Amino acid sequence: MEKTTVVVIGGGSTGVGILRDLAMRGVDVLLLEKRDMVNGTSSRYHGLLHSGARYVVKDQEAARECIEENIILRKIGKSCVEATEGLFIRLPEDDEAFEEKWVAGCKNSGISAIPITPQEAWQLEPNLSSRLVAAYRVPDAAIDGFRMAWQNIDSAKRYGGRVKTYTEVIRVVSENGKVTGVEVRKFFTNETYFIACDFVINAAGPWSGQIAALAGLEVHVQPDKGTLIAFNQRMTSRIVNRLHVPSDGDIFVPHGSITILGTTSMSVKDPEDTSSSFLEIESLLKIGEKTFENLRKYRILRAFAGSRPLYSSSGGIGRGASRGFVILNHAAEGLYGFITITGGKFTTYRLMAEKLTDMVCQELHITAPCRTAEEPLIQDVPENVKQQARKYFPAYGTVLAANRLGGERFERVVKRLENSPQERQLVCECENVTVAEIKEVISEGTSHTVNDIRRKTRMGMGTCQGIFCSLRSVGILSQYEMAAEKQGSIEQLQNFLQSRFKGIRPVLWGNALREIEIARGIYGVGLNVNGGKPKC
Amino acid sequence: MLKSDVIVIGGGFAGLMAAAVSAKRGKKVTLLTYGSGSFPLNSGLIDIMAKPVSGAIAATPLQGISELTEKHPYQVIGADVLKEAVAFFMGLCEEENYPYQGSLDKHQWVVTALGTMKPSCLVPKTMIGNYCFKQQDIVLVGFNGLKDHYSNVMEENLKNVLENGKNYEQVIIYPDIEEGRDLTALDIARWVSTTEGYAACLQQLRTVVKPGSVVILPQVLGVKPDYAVWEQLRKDLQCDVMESTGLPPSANGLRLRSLLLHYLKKHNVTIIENCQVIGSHIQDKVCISVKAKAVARERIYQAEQFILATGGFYGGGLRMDHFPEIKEPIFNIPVHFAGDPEDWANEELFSQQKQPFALVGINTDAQMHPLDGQGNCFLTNVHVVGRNLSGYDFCFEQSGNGVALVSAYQAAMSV
Repeated sequence: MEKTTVVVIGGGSTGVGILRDLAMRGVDVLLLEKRDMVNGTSSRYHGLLHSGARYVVKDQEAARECIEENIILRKIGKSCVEATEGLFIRLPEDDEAFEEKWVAGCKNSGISAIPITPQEAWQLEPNLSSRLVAAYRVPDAAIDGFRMAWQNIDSAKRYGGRVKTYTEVIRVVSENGKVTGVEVRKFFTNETYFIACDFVINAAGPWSGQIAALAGLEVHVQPDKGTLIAFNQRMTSRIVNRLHVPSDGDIFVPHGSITILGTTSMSVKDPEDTSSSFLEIESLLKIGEKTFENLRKYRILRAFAGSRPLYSSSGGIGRGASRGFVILNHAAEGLYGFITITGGKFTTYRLMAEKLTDMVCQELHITAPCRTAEEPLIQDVPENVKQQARKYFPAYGTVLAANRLGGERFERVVKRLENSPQERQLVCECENVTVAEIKEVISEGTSHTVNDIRRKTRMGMGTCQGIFCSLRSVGILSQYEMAAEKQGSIEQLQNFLQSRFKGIRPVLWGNALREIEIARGIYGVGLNVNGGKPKC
Repeated sequence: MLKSDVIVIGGGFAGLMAAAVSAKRGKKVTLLTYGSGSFPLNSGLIDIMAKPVSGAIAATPLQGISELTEKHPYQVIGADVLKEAVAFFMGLCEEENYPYQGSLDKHQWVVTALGTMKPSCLVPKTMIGNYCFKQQDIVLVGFNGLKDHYSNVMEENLKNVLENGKNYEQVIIYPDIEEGRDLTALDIARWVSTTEGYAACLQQLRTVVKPGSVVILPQVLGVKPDYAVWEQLRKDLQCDVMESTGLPPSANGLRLRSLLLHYLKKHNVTIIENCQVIGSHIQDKVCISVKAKAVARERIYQAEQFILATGGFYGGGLRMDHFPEIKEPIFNIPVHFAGDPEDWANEELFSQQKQPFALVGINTDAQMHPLDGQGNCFLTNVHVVGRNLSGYDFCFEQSGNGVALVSAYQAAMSV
């Protein structure tokens, strides 16, 4: 029988943070994720490492937590963070009184907010609205949620932490008011089995209400859908926030060569609902073009959406509900060993994990202190490996790939590139992803679909949105046994193309429309992806 | 200034065919091109009609056309003209020594790079896939370094299409091309076209291929519109040899393009390349001239009649910079989408319904004159052909080059 001390449910940022912290303190821990890692809320947001300035008026405590964690994450996850800094800008229609409260709030929370003149703001960011009346510089930053999670997992694994993906918890088993284990079901085979454990940590984000229900408990988590738009240009080098009461569509975050605009806030029944409608996009653009007047001239790559887990003990909804986090030890309700952690935000995931881990360690009488704030997530890539890699990557690509892959994986990829010239070919020309990288990721054994590979490598995320790399990645994945037994190559291809289309559909005009017509030409007409048996 | 009888705008299949038919009729034709349309994408296959309404494949292309329910270019033009157009195209290919095979009475099945079979209608001999059904031994040929070709995927899916019990063999040919660089099928086609390349390819194939097999390759059997390499390989291997469809660039699409360009030159068509038409001069519903961006200045081209073959959203013949404003940039021919924004596209990319955005385009009368919103003739000496047209989904129906062919033929017969 499979056994562990702690089962963590949920492969998002909270889950991986807990996995790492427990593993580093010497606790036997297994993380279970029903699909692929970082597939829910943690990859469906701005990628904004908050300075806390957004929260200073409403919630000083959250703001203080943000700035502290902001400083920590820059240190431990430096290859995940792009230190862009951020601007808060006020337009004439934004309340001037709010600005005063905000400035005071930043001061009280210890967040540096440096006032600059509109002229200085336009000098820093020439595309900013010509109507802005006030601007401040704050220590916001851009952060890569996928990478942060992979690096947490890599770090946890070095300390013995384990992860199982495509493994869904279907039952929480207890005896005499004490957790004894979980029953799980494997996604591709439907096989079910039991894992014994002493603690179950419910870190399933917007799904945590459903997980609690498996244990017969009630947790009021309201999934709150936020839709975002990814533009194909870096229209700003800094994060730009509107200086007003936090609202829809008022944040722009640059990431590499793209910019993300978001978000909306809409209560939904099902956290799986990540669709975005044409009207949601239109309303985001309407608000967004107040910050960047020429917004509609930029090419949109896609829209995407995710669900925030808004916890309410009292039933607040949307932006009115707290964005703080809660830890619920259900021992008080008669189930010892079952703990829910929910609410919160990406920026404070490490702190959330620390508090939760403190609680579990206390129960286990473990006194090891938390070290997640000091130890870097991954080791630096040695200079000689980078030097070797420069022979195969385009100049800037070496640094990007080193950051993306991290120390050991990067070394293995470079070795592949060296030993097998075949693998130097690019699968994804938009994001510079080589065959070597795709094969390395597949051979780790946790990627079963093209989307799993995409999340780990960024293939298919660039300008062409997977049109030219779809067949290639399906072709490579199909060479590995683990993929073939699960989904046929046509199903893989259809699923991947459809998942890319999902985000393009609500922005289907301009070059996105042209791109989709190429996709239909190649895969619909040329490859007859819908198949069908010939009659002869 | 020189004035043409007919100016054709657009270098895709529709434009080249419109120029060919006009020239054959003795007209003085000028062809203005900017790019090469979808030749590199569609393997030079003339799909005519596979799925008219539902996802089910019609008994024959002609039968499919008779099943169309809504206003479709084929119905606007009529089946008789389609038959003439097909005959013209087949004759043209024959004349150029690259005869196509097929008719409106039968689907021709083509093996795709995915290992599915695709129904088409008029097909070059190298791509007739029907032999797969007959022979027992199937050899899938890949080339080392060709990253857009996966024999493993083809085998997996062909097994689902063909009868059980066939033998499959995957062969990798090592072309004598420097390793590590990106290769396309076109690169390999160039290599196979050389004496040394062909010999090396044959030698490697001979060691594994039994006579009487079906040998399936990507489009690598030469770059020119002739069957020399294909015929030689059939003879040398004593096998059925065929090319599959693939990712762009498609060698056969480019073979068809050079065949048509050769025909146009033979018939004295003036071809002006890299000539982006950006506007027109209209008087009383008559186009006097069009204006093109040339290398260093703008140029004016005059003609009696104009054929617009600039493509749809992909080709740039229609533009949608912002939803829902659709623009035809040369003549400002009205195009509208009147539906609910959420209905602009089906939820699924490859669904069991035609895509609403694909059905949008220019409405015409039977002579391909563009119509305005009230159904009146918008321009009396302009004809619209190919992907600019409304009422069809080239992808769902598998009808793209067929609509291009018949509309181009009809327009050219009307000028």
